[in-house]
Amino acid sequence: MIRLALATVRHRWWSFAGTFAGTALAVALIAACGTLLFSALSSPAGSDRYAAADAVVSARRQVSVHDGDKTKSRPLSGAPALPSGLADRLATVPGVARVTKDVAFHAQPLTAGGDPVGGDPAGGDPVGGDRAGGDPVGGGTGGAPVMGHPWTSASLTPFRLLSGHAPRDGEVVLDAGLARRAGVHPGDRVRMALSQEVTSFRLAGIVATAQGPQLPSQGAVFFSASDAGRLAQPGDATALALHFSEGADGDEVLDDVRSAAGADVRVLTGEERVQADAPTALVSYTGAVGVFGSMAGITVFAALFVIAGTIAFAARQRLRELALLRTLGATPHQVRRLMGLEAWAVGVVAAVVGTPLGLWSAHWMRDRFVATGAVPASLHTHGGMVPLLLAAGTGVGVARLAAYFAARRVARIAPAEAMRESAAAPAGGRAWRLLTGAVLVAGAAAVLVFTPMRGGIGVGMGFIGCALLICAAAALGPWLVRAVGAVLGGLLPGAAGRLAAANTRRFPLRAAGAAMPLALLFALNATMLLNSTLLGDLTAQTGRARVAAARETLTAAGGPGLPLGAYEEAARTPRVRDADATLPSEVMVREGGRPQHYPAQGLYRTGGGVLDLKVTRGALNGLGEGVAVSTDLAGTQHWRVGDTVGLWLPDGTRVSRPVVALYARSAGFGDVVLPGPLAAAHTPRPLLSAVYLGQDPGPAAMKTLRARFPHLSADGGTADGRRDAEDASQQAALRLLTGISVVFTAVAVLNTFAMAALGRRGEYAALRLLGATARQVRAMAAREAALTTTAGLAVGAGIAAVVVGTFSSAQDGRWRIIVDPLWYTGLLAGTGLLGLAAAALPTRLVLRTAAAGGGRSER
Amino acid sequence: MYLASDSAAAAVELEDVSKTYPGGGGTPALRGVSARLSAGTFSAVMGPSGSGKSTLLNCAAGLERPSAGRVRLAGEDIGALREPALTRARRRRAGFVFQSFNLVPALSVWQNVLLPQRLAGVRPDRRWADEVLARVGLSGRRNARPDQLSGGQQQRVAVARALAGRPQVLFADEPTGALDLSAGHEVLALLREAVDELGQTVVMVTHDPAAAAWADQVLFLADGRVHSSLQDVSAAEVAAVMTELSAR
Repeated sequence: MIRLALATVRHRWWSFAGTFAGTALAVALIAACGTLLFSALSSPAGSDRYAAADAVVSARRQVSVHDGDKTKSRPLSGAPALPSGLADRLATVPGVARVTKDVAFHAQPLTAGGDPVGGDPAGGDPVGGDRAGGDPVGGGTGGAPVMGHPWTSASLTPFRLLSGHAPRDGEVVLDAGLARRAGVHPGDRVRMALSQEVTSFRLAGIVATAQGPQLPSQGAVFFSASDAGRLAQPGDATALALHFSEGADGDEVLDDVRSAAGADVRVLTGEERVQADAPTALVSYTGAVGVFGSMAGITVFAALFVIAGTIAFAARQRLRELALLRTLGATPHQVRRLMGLEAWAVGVVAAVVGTPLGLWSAHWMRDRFVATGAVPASLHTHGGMVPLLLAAGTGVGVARLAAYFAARRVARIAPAEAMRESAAAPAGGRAWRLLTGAVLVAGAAAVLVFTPMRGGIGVGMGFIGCALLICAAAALGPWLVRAVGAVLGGLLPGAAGRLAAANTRRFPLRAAGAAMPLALLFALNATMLLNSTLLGDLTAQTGRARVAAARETLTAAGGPGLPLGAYEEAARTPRVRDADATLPSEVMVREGGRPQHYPAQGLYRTGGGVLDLKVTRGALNGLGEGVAVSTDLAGTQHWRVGDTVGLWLPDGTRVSRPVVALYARSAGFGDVVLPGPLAAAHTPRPLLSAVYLGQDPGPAAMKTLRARFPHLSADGGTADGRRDAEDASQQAALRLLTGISVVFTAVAVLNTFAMAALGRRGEYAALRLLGATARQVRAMAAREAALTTTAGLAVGAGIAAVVVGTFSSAQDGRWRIIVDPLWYTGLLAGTGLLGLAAAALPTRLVLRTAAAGGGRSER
Repeated sequence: MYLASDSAAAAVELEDVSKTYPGGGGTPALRGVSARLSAGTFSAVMGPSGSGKSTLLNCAAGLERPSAGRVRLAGEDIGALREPALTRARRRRAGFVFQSFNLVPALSVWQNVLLPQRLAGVRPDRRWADEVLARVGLSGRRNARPDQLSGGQQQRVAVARALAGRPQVLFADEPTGALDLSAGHEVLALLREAVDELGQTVVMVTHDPAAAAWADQVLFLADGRVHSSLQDVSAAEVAAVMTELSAR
């Protein structure tokens, strides 16, 4: 049996070509996504700033909710404060020689021109690898965060002085990378952007680590102990680094430290020490994990769809051969086994080809994603063997599964079919198709109607709905194609047109084999593209409406945000009566028995305020000690004005506050508005994303502002780095997704048309003998291709219309289908061209050989 | 080797067999056919197009299940068998030669000859397979692929394959239909030889009177019923009956 399977694959390689290409592609893509996923999960979360410490003690950064006997936890975006007196307690533990307190707070040097200088984003150029003096990388956009620390903590890495001396009050020490990019030398004055003010310091010295001029992915600034104590904010992360006595038994000391520290803190050693670093200095791969995870998911879906199609089609093309085997004594079980073994053989070869291709693609994709800023540069491709084996296994498994389903029906073929000129698959399966289609449509309807379709979740749900509808269309394909064929068939002129319409109606499975991948291509891409475009447009629209009243918007050019002082100064300007400032933060809310993250904003307000959040209930002016909540969140939580609600702030503090207002314009902003001081006290790196002024402060006032805050930008933009990064990652992922589906579809469509054309060689030859010119046969084939492609586009457009329409109406009650005419028509034209080209090519080739081959029947 | 020592024993017995195809407009292909074909003989089944001769062969060989009636193949009642028991019965008792598309294109001549035994999971009898391949004159083409053979050679391989399994009955459906005169002649001579020298039972469906003349007995079908049965007839006699049947 194995020999027969191998012989068949070798002999009929062309009928397995589509399956092979689809499987190899799937293996490559899954291997690439898997490798990147594993890399993201195992890449360093940050720099090992505590490399010289034996252990680091940090507060437990998570919120737990107890629901019955289950406990659900979510990580905090900030760091809780350490219990007071802990340092003293730990210092008395036997074997602990020294306890060093570290605190990390926002402190960013500015160049002479006022540009913020960021840390090195990728991670350390080699020592002495000096780039040409003071290159404008200092221009700092996208630079890694820069953290200020007390000088005592410099020894924890350790940082050593290259020149100068330890900082006294009013002095700073910079790492060599920052100093170079800021263009300063010991003795110079350097302005530091802090969370409250911009203050000038004298540069006392320059430090470097043993590995290089700076830490990978963060910059370091050291202050005198008293300056650091003054500048650190209550929400900033603190850690206690422990040095053990010489000769002490590390494990024993650790046990004692753990029991002295208590349950609320973590005692970290080895690679885990990184996790005690400031939350804003840690590199997050959650975005990358999401992108690569969903791409792997979509790939598996498309692969299953395409491979199932190619295998089923190939099986139908060789019914006669399978029937012959049945007459020679093969049981249906043996036919199934034969097809299964063939799938194994093709799958294994495809995996062997696809896996190295995947490894290569992983590197390529990593570079592309890093280039667009969608993925942190510290992501290194080192997934190991596991994702590769998983990808190979998935590819082979998908092929085997598809063969199982294809064989289930075909194997029941009556042996007598071997003697007929054109063998027919056993009837039946029709009810099965109808039932599957109906169930899938019902599932899609349930997803679209009953799940939340707003915002980012809605995009995901829209995708699931779309995938279900595509599967339903595949099940109902023959009927859908026949319906389109019946509607359009009458419009096609001439004998060739009539013949084409008849062929499409009579052999709808063949037509569906090419039409459904096209429907998949259009529906999947239209849904993803249009929904995210729509969401982006609506968010931008909401954002514009929110800030419409602002005469001037102040942001920090190239830095993470403005100090609070910038708002206070601007609001004091004589001409400015109304001013707002926003401080991006995050809250957690108990939802369905687990803590759930929601973006939030701390709001500072002077006068009547500037931002129009479209308050529907209550009033923002009475924010005082209360909070305002978006209508979306209030809806899911059943909150009303006047209710007292419980929230976790980023540092884990639990607060109960009354709801004073509900507002509608939350998209791209946040679902909870906190009083500014409350947010500032509990958010790591409390910086203002923007200051909105209701009146023009006038040129003189602006000049004063700029002098005090050199990195202040007043070009009215509502720059928000977080959103830009999200957009970039989404765009990059979408483009890649489009690429993936185009390639898969091309494989499926080309395969279907090519195999159909090969199988019909005899039919074409017969038509030629009947007096049809080659031109007429080509015309018939072209019209069939047009019918098939149109059917695919119609089905795809129908699915996209349902999903996009539902999504759109969930956002703002308006039913949109096309959203972006340029993209829509482009997608339509592209898909159509792909279908027509894939059909024309094999037909032309076959006709050229059929003319010579005469009336010989298939094969 | 199975030898039909008792020439009176029936290789194929049909009792009141009817067959109606689903979706065939309800017109039966066979209407109560009863027939008895003796072991060790060469029988031909003849009739005009649509007379049901192929259906008769399919039912007799266990390729199709009759709608009604009993089918006994070498003594075993196969009319009531379902898959995969039917396939197993067919493996033991029947060998096939069709008009065309007999060989699995991916396999060599030798592999094709041994395929039924491999599918049946029995150890192939290579010496016997060698002998039948020699009998059909293709010992030298063991490693050739089907598409490297002429139509007549392919058909001879099919005969060899059918004989290699030592079936109790060899069924042939229009075995010469796609061949030229001399190639057809060779195939018919091989079948005749199998009956005479090996005691093989052969049942052949054909529409060619010249082919039917090679048989010991000819069964004529018309409209799904048995019209008549003749022994040791000449091609001219067969042609006369066919003319009469076609004129009706």
